[in-house]
Amino acid sequence: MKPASASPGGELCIMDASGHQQLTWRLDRSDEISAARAAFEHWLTQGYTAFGALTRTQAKHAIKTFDPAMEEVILVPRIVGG
Amino acid sequence: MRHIERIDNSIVAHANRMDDALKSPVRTPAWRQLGTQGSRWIRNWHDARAREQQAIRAARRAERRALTLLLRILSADQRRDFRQHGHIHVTGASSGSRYRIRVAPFANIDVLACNGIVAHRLCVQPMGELPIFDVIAGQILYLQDPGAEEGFLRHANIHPTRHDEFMSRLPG
Repeated sequence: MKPASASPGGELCIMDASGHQQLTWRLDRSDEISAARAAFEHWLTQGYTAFGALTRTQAKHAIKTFDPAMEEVILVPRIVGG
Repeated sequence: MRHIERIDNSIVAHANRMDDALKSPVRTPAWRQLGTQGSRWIRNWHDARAREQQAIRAARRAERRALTLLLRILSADQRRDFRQHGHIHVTGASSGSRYRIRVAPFANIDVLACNGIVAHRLCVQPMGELPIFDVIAGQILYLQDPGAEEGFLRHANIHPTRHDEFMSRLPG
C-alpha cells in the first residue's frame, strides 16, 4: 500500500525470459513518463501488444497509446500458433 | 556448511594439492601429466556445476515473478480455481466461448462445449522463452479483450481432444 505522501503513478511490465522487466513512473515526473512512453512505443513497434487499466484491480484491455494515468500496463510479445 | 558444499570444497582442495605437487622443475613423467589433466578436469566440472546451479536459480526466480504477475491479473474466482484445480476458466470477451487454460507447455487451451466437455484444444502462445505463467497470463489477456480475442484465435492451431477425453464422451 503506497504511503499517502507518495505521488500516484504507474508501472509498465514487459514480459521476457526473466519474468518481466518493470518500469515505473510518477505523475509529477515528466522524465519518468517520457522514458515509459518511449519504452512503450519501442516494444509496440517490435510487435508487442499492450494491455492496461486505470487501476490495478480493473480488467485490462488492449491499448495502442500510452496513458500515464494507467496504474498498470502489461506488454505481451507477439503471439504465434504452436 | 552443507554436506554437498563440504564435498565440493574438499575436491577443490585436493586439486590444489595436486597442482602444488606437480610444480617441480624435474621433467614430469606421463602419470604426472595425467594428474595435471585430472585436476583441470575437476576444476572444470566444479565451474560447470556452479554455472548450472546459477541458471536453475535464475529460472526459479523468473517463474516466481511470472506467477506473481499472473495472480495479479486473475479475478477472485479465477484465483480460487487456479489454486484448487490448477487451471483457469476464461470467457471470451467477443465470442462468449468458454475456455479452460491448463498449466502445460503447448495446446493448453481447452475450448469447452455447452455441456462442459472439451470440444477441441488450441495451441497459441506469446513468442519467446517466457516462463510458463507469463505465457498463461498473456493468453488470458488476449482472450478477455474483445478486440484481441479474434486475432488470437486466428493464430491458434487446433488440436483434437485427447483419446481419454474422447472415450469419456462415449455412452456406457
